[in-house]
Amino acid sequence: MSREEYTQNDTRSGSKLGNVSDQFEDSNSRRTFLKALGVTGIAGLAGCTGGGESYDGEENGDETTASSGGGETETEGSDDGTAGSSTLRMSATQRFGTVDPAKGTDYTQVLALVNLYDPLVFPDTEGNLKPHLAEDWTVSDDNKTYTFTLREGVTFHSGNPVRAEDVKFSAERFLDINQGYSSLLGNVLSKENVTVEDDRTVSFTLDRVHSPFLATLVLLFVVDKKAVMDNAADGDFGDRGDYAQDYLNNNDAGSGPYELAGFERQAQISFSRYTDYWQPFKDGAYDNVVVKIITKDPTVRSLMKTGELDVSSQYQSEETYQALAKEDDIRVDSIPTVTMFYFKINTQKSPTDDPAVREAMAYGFDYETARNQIAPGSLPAQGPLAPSFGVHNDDIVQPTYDPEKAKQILADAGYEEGDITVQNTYVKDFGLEEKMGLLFQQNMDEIGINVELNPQTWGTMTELATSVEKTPHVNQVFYGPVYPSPDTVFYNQYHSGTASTWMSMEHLEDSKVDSLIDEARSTVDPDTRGQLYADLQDHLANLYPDLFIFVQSKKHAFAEDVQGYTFRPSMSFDYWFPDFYQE
Amino acid sequence: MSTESATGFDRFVSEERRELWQRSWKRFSSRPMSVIGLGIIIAVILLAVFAPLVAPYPEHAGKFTDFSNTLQPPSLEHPLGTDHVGRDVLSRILFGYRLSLMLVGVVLGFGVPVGVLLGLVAGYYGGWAETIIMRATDTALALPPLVMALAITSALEPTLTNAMIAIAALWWTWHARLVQSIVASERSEEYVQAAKLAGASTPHILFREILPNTLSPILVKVTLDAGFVILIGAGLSFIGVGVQPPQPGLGTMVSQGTSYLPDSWWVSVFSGLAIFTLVMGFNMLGDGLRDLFDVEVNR
Repeated sequence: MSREEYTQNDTRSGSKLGNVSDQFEDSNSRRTFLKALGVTGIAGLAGCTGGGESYDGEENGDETTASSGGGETETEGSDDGTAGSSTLRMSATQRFGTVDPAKGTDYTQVLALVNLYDPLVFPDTEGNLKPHLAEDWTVSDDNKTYTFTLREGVTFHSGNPVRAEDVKFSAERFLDINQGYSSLLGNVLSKENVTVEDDRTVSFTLDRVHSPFLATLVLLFVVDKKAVMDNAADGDFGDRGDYAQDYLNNNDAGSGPYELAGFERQAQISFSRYTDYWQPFKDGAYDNVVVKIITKDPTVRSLMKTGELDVSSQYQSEETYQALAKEDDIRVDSIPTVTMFYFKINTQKSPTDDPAVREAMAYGFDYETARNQIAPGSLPAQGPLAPSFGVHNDDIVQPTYDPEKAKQILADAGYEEGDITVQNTYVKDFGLEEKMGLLFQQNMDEIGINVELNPQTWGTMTELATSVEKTPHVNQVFYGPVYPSPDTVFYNQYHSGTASTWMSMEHLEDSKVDSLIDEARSTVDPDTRGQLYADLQDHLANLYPDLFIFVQSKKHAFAEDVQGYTFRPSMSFDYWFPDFYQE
Repeated sequence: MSTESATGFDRFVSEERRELWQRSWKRFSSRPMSVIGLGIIIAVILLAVFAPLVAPYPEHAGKFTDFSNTLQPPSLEHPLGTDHVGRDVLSRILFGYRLSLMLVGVVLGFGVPVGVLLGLVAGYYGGWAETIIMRATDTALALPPLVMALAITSALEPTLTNAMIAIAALWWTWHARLVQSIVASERSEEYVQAAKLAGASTPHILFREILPNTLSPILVKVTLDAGFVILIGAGLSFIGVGVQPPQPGLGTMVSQGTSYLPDSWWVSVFSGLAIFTLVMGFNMLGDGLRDLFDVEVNR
């Protein structure tokens, strides 16, 4: 598979089908969005199993039997860690709970999956979907049936070829296990309707028209059916046993550009390049990648300074970035994203079930200080959607810091000073959120609302989110697109039909919101859909389900010789290791 | 050392004993370490009590942020610098002492009377009472206080009150055991037998005859314990249990400061020194008292 051919495929599908750039349609006029990419913030550990197991490296390493699928593969033996091989060392702030493609949800898990597995389609820097495992696809006239043609000569890490059968099996596994992001597909697709046409052709027939479908496919990672069945233990899924859930928790069965080379859940995860990957690697691409879990800022700082770490996580403190930027051989890049920082307000629990209280909070918070002093570099928010989305409604009134107005709103609603006490929950030990909490506490004190700060671990926060009663009044959460479509912002957070998760701590129940989201989903025409999204944003802004604090600019410290970081507006797809190379 | 002030105390402690104590004070004051320890504690208590008057920025201990003034190095305006949200470190340390001393007060105020009472009963009656109380004590002693406090505060809410309850719930054990061992040997002493023959009631024997003889080891233990309690409190708030933001817990301040080491060293270092000074004060005083009472026992 030559690079030229690959590029041609890009152009073709970009202009033809499944193009989601219409959803980001203004992107060309918005330089910001070109740099944008999405990441759910300190997204969590939901769905992790207990840790401690470590991966035994036996499974890999002996796959030299794989036929050389492409003409441009790297020379053998460059991936065995001998002298001369290059290693990219990154840090992450939270452990990798699982590497099972049916279960990953948070940023570290998806980071691993993106590199170990291939989806059918892949987002580019603007959120357009590009061919990946599928080299082409067509959509039926009724917009319900999607037929994919698979790329030829692609092999899994085991050496088995990637067939249509594997795609069907992956979809079935995803839907049967019913964890992670499977509800994205499960809502519109039943597994009987995934059909193998021939060895290289597979079709998906949806229950109804669903415009974000293609975008959600970036989260359908294709697994090696044979490897899964060989490693399946007894389980609940009939002749498929446990779908090898135990095995895939610690091993990979994908066709991605990198293979799992070592996995110590609490400490680090390492990857080595899959030499028979269908797509050629860049010159200087890394042979190995190690992601170390480091939670303390001083550790990151000293490792970066001594050259033992090449890329920092995106969650270091501002002070750390400032200190690192002063070093000669380190650069700190600030990258505008489409991820937003929300104070999610529980709309079903007193006293924040009163819209007046929520509105008063929205006008009582000092957004300028939050953005300029606590999170320098971040961009102003306007409503629930990041402004760099093409379908963003630019007419929304974003509340500004106005304590007098906030007091007036409370007085008009009949509240007196000291009547209202709310809890603010944030991730313990996360400096930025602690500062936000203290600022919020001080601001609310000025308008007569008493705030109790309630730092929790991320695990506890995700736990609390599942119950309306237990969800605290105000919750600090980063949330960004998990697939390249605005639908991800609206459905997961505001639709009453979505499960109660950390993404939907508002527990919003509003029939107009629901119907607008549903209508947008079943609308194919981009203009009509754009109008629906504009109405939806306007309506949401008036409900005050959140304080929309800012749009995140994420920062990474890079060692000077690390190049190639590429933005993609879908969580963790910007950490696709083949992008990176050594100068 | 006034002789006329407290009449209740007069009845409790005899004239000879008071003279003994006066001699002890002389001996005590001849040890510079003990006097320094006592001085530190008195100074800290005064500073804590008058923190709202003494602290340069009392409002910085509460709901206050100033993000234009974060992590300022020590200066005339802020003698110990400012922290990551622009609060004056000195002011927060002074208010932090209040919380630490309050913790000591609550834990020992609950733990010591309970422990002493149980120890007296167990030691004096022996038999079943001793078996039940002392085995309960042994069980409680087997649980490390820090771990227990963590478990209790995680099960409930991680507030300061719960942390106090958790530590206090374990602290009586040490005193129960100490007092029991002393009482067990004292109860066969002649003066106890004499009191019994004279028809004294059991409470009289326990509290008027035996208890005064256990006071000195208890006093030493309490002083040394104070340092431990402060350290445990600081340890808990270091890991985020106990003192909740924006309360200025000393351990919390050390913990938060570590994110900004080594460039902004003043937050962690000064709050760490504050803990060090107070604990050191209690330990020096406790050592002094122990030496003092050991000599007395030897006589």
